[in-house]
Amino acid sequence: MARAAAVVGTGQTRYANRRDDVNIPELAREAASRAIEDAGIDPRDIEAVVIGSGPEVFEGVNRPDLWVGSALGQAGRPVTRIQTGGTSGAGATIAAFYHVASGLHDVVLAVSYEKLSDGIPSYSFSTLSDPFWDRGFSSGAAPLVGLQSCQYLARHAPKVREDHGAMVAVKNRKNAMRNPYAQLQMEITVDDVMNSSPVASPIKALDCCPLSDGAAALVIAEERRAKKMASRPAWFAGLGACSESPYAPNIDMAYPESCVRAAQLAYQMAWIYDPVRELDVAEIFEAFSFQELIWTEALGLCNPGEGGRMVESGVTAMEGEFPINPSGGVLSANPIGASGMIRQIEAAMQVMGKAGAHQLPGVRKSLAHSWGGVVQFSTVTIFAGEL
Amino acid sequence: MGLELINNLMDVFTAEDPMAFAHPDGDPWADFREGMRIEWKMDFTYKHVLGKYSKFFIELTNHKFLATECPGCGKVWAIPRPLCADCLTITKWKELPGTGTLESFSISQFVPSFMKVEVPYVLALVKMDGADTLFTHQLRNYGDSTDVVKMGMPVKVAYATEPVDHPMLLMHFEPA
Repeated sequence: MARAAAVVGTGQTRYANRRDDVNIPELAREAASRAIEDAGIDPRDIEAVVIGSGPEVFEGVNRPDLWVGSALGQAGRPVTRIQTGGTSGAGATIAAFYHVASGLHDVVLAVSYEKLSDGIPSYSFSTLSDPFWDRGFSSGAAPLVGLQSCQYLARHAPKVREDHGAMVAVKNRKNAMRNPYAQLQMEITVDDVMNSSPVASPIKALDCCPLSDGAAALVIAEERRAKKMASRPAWFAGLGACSESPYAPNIDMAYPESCVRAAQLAYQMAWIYDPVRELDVAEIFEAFSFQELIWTEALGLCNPGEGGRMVESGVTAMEGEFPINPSGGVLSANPIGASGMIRQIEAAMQVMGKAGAHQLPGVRKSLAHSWGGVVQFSTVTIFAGEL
Repeated sequence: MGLELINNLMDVFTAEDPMAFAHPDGDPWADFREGMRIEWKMDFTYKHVLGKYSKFFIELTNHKFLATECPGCGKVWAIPRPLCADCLTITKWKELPGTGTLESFSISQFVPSFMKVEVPYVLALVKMDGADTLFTHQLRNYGDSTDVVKMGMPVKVAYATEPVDHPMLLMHFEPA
């Protein structure tokens, strides 16, 4: 049986299109130092480090695990690196949880980062495709998610409409105005989104996440230490991590099985029967606006086809009955390898009561989601304020 | 001589404190705000073996569109899979007519600069006749306007007539 473990400290960097003042380990260190400080511990209390970051081709620097660990002041500790695209950051947290839950370590640091401005994303994204089937014609992430979004809209028309995606973009950019770390803080309208330049139909410029530099970190501790370190730790209550076919055409992108199953596993572990009632908030990995609708359904927070109604009726707004992405979400910053961990950090902070200007009242349980690869990796993490 | 000794130097600059809002008493890193950026070009070639999929590409040159059929569960895979992903049985090659219907599409107004393709660029997700899976590729020759591209429209595999840079480009989709 797994030992109880909790997030006791979190740290983030300011997310920006370009962080010219730091190199990659300095960026990672910034988040790690803040997490260690937030946990109120000495760096020497850390027993092991897990690093999450995207494909090496993004930054052109191989073996980042080699030097990031020591840059964090953790030379001598065991270092593991997780790389599963968009789920790298969330995967690093999950691996760090395993370190603690297994009983092998009591206090573990998980760090994730991406510095996309060091590379050439349009080129490096093309090399992420399968070298046999997709690379010949792959034109990046937006067209792939364009296929996903078009399939989703067609399946649920007229219940779900193109402007429902725009409503997500408006809501999340507005939420970001309360988050000092967010990159895009914008007051925009549905018309602004609908009239923004076409990228890959039905996706338009304002439906897209930005490219970001940034890092995130969290400290995980076992029960006894966690209770000493934090007045209200964010306990790991449920976890689910699933994968499916690496070929996008082989999976149902409009209702991905890996996300449905990851959610079911996490709910089962957390004894959650009615997620939208029992959870108080969700942080969802919406790299493109329509994905928030798709994931909301796949996570079982509403029935298939109801995603549009959730945003239109205001249920998922900051003041709504079930807020989604109070941080501003991935639409407001996307340092890819860190983005999954940033979702977990927001979900944990909401439970710990440390989310500052974007804190929601009385959060007892929260959910963090991430996706990676060609939509074939999904993770779901549930935090609770009480053990 | 000075900085010009560095062949790959891009620029030297003074970086700003990105967290100035959190540092009312001054920038803790004030002594470390001189920055420089270099460029590093990498140009090398990889050699990918296409493995058990190779026959698919060889047959494209013969204008044949191959799928694989699982003798265990009967599922027909296009993209072909040498091992059935559902029941892990070794599959058999099966020729399909190469026709299908549009399950989803996305029209891009721009593509990365290295892609030698026309814009608008239409990516298609196609339900292949005779297969149990979907297949993705570019849709071309749809005429003067992308308005004709509609969900459910019949499409067919068309074969390259000019040399291509990747075996997958031996085929694309066209309206049927």
